[in-house]
Amino acid sequence: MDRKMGMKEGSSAKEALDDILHAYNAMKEICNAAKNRIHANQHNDFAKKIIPSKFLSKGKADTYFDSLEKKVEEHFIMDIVATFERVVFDRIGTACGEIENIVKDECNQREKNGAAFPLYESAPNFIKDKEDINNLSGIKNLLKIPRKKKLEEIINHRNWISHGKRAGVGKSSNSRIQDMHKELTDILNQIRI
Amino acid sequence: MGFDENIAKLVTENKTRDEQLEEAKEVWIHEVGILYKEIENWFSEYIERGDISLEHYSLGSAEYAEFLQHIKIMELTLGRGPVVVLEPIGINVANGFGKIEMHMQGHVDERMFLMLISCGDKDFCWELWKNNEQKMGVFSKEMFKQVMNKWIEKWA
Repeated sequence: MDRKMGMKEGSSAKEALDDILHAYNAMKEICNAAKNRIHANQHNDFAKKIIPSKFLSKGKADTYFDSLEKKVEEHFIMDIVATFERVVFDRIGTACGEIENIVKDECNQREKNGAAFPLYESAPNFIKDKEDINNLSGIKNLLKIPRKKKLEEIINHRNWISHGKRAGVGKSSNSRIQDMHKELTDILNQIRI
Repeated sequence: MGFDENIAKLVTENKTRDEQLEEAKEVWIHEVGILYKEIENWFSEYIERGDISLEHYSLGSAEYAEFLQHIKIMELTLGRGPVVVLEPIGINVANGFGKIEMHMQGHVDERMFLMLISCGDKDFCWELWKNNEQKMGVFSKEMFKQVMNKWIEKWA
């Protein structure tokens, strides 16, 4: 989805995910409307434009719509995971900076109180920065189990689709886009984004 | 461990992985075949009367060439009208050894999932799942009839 559509100026990260689910539902409705119109008359020009002749001639319009709907869902799954990745990364830099400041303040305070710990001056260097969390696996490692497992399943499913459903790359999940939307939104809530 | 030993270990490990994969592929082909035969038996009376017909179609794509060769999509035409489709997805799946997607033609949005799972050391069975969270139980003739009947009442 277009970045502007996915996340408008001032809109929240969760809204970006909501927009994708909304767009998916809209596409599904468009498919249903087209399907109903073609059911009413399989031989008009509209049907010929929408359904490839090899399906139309065999009376397999429904088969075509089934495959079309699955493709639409797969595209939106790719989109919702990509958007999740983007909205999280957009905020990771700020979060890392804030965490570093908290640690620095705490270290300074302890030093003043005479309770400095070994390597306290280097403590901020122990904090991960944006470069350390540069992909979805990095985000996954910030989560607690079982959220971590669920995100892993979503990532695997995205990988399975994006690599052509080939052997050994990703894994197909039974989660639908609605489930993924819920899970990714819950993760955003958990990590306060 | 020396270089030669490491190489030997890698060879053994990789051979085992290959063997495991070959075994998983064989199991998948075998179990899908058994399920299809079972479904044919479950509905043999209907099939003999011509009330239900079975057809098989080639998969559009598959994880392995063997699957394209040995595994088909099954379609059950109910009362010469609606069609129930069973489409084997493959073995690269979460939470199981393999997966078949099942839906009434034209209603793929409400598809269900048949998961091949382990039922003991060497045995396998099929579980029907409505989605990732809702397991309906071990797939049986009665369960299949219930699901299809629900679909008929809703859409046919």
